[in-house]
Amino acid sequence: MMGVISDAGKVVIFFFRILGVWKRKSISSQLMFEQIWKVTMQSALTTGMAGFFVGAIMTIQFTMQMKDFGALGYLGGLATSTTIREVGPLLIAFMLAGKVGAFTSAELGTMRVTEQIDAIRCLGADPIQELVLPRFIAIVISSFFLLGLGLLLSIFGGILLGEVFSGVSFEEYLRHIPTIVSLPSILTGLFKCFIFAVVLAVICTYRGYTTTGGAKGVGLAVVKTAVGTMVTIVIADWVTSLLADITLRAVLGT
Amino acid sequence: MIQFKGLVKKFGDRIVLKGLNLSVQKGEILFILGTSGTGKSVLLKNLMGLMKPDAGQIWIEGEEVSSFSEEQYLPIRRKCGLVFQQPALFDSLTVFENIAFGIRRHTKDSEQEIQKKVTKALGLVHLKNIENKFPSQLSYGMQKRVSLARTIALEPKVLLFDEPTTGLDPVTTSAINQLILELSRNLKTTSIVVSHDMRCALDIADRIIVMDQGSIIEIGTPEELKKSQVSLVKDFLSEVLEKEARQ
Amino acid sequence: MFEHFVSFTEMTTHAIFSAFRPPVRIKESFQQLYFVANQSLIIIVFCVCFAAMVTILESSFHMRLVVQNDSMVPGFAAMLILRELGAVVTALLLTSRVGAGIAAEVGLMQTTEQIDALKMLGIDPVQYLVLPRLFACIFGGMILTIVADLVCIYSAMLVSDMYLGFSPAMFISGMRRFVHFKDLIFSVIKGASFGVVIPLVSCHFGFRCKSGAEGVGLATTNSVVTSSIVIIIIDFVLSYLFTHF
Repeated sequence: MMGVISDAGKVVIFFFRILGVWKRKSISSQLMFEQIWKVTMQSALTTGMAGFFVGAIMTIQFTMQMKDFGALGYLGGLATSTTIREVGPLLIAFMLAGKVGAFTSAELGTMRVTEQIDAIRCLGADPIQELVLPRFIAIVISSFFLLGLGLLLSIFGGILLGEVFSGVSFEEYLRHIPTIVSLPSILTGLFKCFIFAVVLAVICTYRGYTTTGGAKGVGLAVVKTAVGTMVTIVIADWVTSLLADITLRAVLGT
Repeated sequence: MIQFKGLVKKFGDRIVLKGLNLSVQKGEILFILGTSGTGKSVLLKNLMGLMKPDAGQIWIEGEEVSSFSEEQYLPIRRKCGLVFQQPALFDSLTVFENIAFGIRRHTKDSEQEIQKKVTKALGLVHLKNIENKFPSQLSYGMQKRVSLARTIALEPKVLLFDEPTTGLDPVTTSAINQLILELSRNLKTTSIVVSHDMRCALDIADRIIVMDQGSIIEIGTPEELKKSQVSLVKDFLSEVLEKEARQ
Repeated sequence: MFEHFVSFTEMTTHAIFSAFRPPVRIKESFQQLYFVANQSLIIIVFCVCFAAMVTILESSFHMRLVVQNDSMVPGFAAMLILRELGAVVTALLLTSRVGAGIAAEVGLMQTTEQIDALKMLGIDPVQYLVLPRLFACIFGGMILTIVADLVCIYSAMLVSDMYLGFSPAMFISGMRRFVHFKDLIFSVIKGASFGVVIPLVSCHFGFRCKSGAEGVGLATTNSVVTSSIVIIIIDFVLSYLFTHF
């Protein structure tokens, strides 16, 4: 238990260290765009697929529930809203944790154990500035895009299954989306995406950067990254949902 | 030129350096020998500021550096070049960019000057026409040389080698050792070499230090070392001398 | 891609056939089961607990939007938990905790030539390494899914009692209208199927691990990604099939 708390503390310190470097030093925008492109392209297919199937699964489940009520018309709206607000960001973020998070920590970890990070320091550069910061920003930005892509494809998956499985035509599916998917829902979804992206980026860069102990250490870093990000994402999910709910109630006055 | 005073480094409960005292003269080639895990590499990493000592002082040209911040260390790292045990080349950069990496960050040289410096550094390690290759396309021995070129491109006054020949075949080993001698003499640098290789230490070192369990157990010129009565030193020597006797 | 598929199928059939050949490594299998189930238990319980809380909050949000009252919330949430959340979240966590661990372990054995050493000693590495892990993950997956379902429903009940104003009695009666025993069975079947995927995919990437730190990192990453995708696809297929019952 103490280990978990001290790890969490170290991650937070690392986060502020990254922010500090960001404030003080410039980053080469070319390096950053390269990273954004790399991360996005690497993970677009996986995230898209995950999004598609999540949407499809949600439609199947909601069809079962709605049928009993004869409220199949609401299917499109409900499935989309649930996917955007809750299930989509969570499952797609899990997928990103595996793909982007694990990859980045493996990459940085390899550089650490092959002494490349020490070499950067010896050659007079700051590894946080040269390696961690571009990756951190790139992961935040492209995770945001990727989550958006996943959500879009999940709507697409929902429409397809609605048509094939539930017999809801796509016009009808789409017609009910605006009535249920409100602006606050979309904002909640986007806010979640952003929080997840930051969580993912800081944990995976921290784990990679602090790897020790050769090939075995790299394997361990990847495992710790995947587990750590997933657990933190679930907690962040709850906190953001709660916050969004409280804000919503306060704003709507109900 | 370089002085360690009472240097202590611990990893958890394990004490790796036990109050080590050592001074290095300008222009000499100093070999540090010892069995694995006796804190030889740790010594170099402390000198470069990659690790901080738990106690003790490190003096480099009249400056006490052990409490320096990362920023303050920059000029020190310009002065001292460390050649890592592994090649530690950046996989994503070409050989040229690898060597230019340090030059770009330490100096304001123009592209032409950088080009010149890179070619010169590669020439010093007897390599040419590989500027546009990636590290993964080179043999391990060549990667080691490029790594050496990357360090000397900054024209350091002190060259530090962390087990330069571990894991290399005998032919490449002697080539690298020859390079160390050549570079140290031609560039008039002070060199500190951490190694297990007694044979090569006897050939090219000005002074040899033998470490065990985090402290120095013997120190002297190759000739003095051959007469040493310390048992570990004798063990190290006997193997080399036996081989020579057979030849 | 295709080559991966071929060698994966080869390994899987090999594993299935060697299951009926002695020696059966019972002790090792139970050690693995201990590792899979016990070591991941806390993380899984912790995570599904939070996931369930979010689900019930979100369900209530939607119900109020659509039908203006949220009396159906317990039923809907319990259904979503049993049919999807419990099994999938458990499986994805197992992928990262256990799957990545297996890939790193086997990958390291491959790069340090321990696998070759096994072959030299006349031991079949697939039978020796894959089977115990397969056994452990299938049973571990089933047990953990049941635990996750229970924890999910309890925490959902707790949140709805404290936050949404459903007493546990109301929650349970609402739940019984929607959820049947077969849903739990489906959930366990899902858990077992995901349990098949994780060790096979991880061992596959472990066996193909290239040497060095980079190789191990890549094998681990690939196994996490591939298992997660395969789990989501299998989940889709199973959910589709189960609607016919």
